[in-house]
Amino acid sequence: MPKLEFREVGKSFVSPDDNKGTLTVVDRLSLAVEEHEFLSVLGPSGCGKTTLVRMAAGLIPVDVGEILLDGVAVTNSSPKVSMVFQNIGLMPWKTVWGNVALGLELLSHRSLTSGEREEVTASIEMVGLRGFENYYPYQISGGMQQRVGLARALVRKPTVLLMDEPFGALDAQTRAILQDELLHLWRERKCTIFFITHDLDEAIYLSDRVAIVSRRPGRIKQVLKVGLPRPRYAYDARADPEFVRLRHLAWESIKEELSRL
Amino acid sequence: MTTLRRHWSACLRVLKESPYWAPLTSAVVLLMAWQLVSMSVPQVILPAPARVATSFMALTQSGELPLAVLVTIWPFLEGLALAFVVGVSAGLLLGLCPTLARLVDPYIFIFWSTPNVALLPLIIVWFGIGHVAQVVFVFLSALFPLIINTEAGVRQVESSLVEVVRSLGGNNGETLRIVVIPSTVPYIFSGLRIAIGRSIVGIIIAQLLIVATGIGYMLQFYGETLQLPLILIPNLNFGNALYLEKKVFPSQLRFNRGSCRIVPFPKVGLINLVHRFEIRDPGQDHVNFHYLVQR
Ligand SMILES: Nc1ncnc2c1ncn2[C@@H]1O[C@H](COP(=O)(O)OP(=O)(O)O)[C@@H](O)[C@H]1O
Ligand SMILES: [Mg+2]
Repeated sequence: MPKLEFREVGKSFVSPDDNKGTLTVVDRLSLAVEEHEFLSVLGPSGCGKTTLVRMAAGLIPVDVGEILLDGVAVTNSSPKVSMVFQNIGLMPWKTVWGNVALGLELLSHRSLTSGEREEVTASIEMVGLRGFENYYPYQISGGMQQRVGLARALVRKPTVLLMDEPFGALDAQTRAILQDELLHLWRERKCTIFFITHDLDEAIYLSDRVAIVSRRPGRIKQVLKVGLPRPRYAYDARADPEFVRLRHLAWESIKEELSRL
Repeated sequence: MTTLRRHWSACLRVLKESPYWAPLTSAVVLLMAWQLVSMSVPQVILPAPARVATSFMALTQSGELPLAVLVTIWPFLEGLALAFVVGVSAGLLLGLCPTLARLVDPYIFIFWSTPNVALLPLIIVWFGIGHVAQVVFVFLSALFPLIINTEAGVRQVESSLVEVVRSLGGNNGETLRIVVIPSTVPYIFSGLRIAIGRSIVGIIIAQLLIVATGIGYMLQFYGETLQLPLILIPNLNFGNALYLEKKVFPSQLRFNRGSCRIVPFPKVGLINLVHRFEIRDPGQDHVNFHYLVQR
């Protein structure tokens, strides 16, 4: 049984202009993410990737079809699932520590026990932010903010991690560092990662499989299996001929979508 | 010449950096101007500051002024506190419930633009001419800025933050506590600032026109020492609101990274309140540097 499964999922939004009717964003999309898999969804901007991941997180309902988590339809946010957001979404009035603690507070719906407080500290340490516990979000860089977002998600010990273009707003170097750290954490935690991106290299470098989504309305166009060995951060995976081959394939596929504009 | 310029820029720096020098300087300048003008006009038109000061002392020593302040401050505080509780709750409710807001908002704006004095006959008929009537009058003066500002505050809560709390499993109560109320606090305080100003005017009017006591009555009685209450009133105003806001909620203000934020006043063009938080931008480079060292 797949860990997370999209079955003929469809979603449309009412368009702001009355005469235009509805805008179909996701159209009968099917995809299965296996347990412990790192699967990336690659697609052009505006193709419905965020919509897809918001549905998987139970934040908005599907119109048709269903999304199954461990075989059960997703209707609400689940304690098994954590989400990392494109715009991070830290509470500006909470410190790094307070923001990470939120991940556990909202899981147990009460104030933290001393054991949980230690978990929060451990989680902050894990993403390399030891010593920054009392900083406010605006006092740290964008990369560090996304580390906080990651710590807030991981402190809940999720079995599925949903990530919506988490590194999209970061500079190239910070992004590369965080990608490697994410691979590290994924190896340690053995969770399933559903990763959204519009960055080809990122998708191939990180994933076991890359699902390419068509232009809106979003559908899975092609799924590429990435045969690169792991761990990838230990050697220069991007120079591997397999990487170059996949990159070319993916690029051809994406280019087609872009030219349909 | 250059030394003069250097002195001048040093003075400017002191004015800019110290929290006390700017208000002190303006007070001294104002007093001097007052003195100068009062020397060139008859005492009846503008008494000299020294004369006002002596009558202030006399009134204080006789116990008349302290008593009046006490009699004024109680209904003021009661009305304001009541308005705060009711106004903030109503504002939260209206902000969270668009349907209710569509039903009620028009009446709030009608009330807001009605001069409270127009309601005086009704207040007297309903609540008499005692303590309660004063409290009600202050309450009505303070209520609407609090409702309107709180409501506007709730409307600007970032939906992405609400979504974060939802995704982490937060229920309605937690969403309110963790996102909605903290991000509305600056708006509540700017509402409170207007409410305090209006309440002070309100209590004076109530004591002038409903119950002849307190500062309002003194104002009427000592028509010739008009300056006295005029000085007291602004002091009361600024002292409370600004100070409270800056001291009590420093961590709330810290998150407004920009130095200035404008509180929108939907539909009401009467007051366009500019809400300034003076926050220094922290040394971003400095923090980044830390980060590099740590890695
Ligand atoms: N709440 C909404 N209401 C109306 N339209 C929406 C809403 N959310 C997204 N859309 C539309 O759906 C399309 C896909 O959006 P999104 O899922 O954010 O794309 P992506 O994340 O791939 O860039 C866009 O055209 C956007 O305008
Ligand atoms: Mg998106």
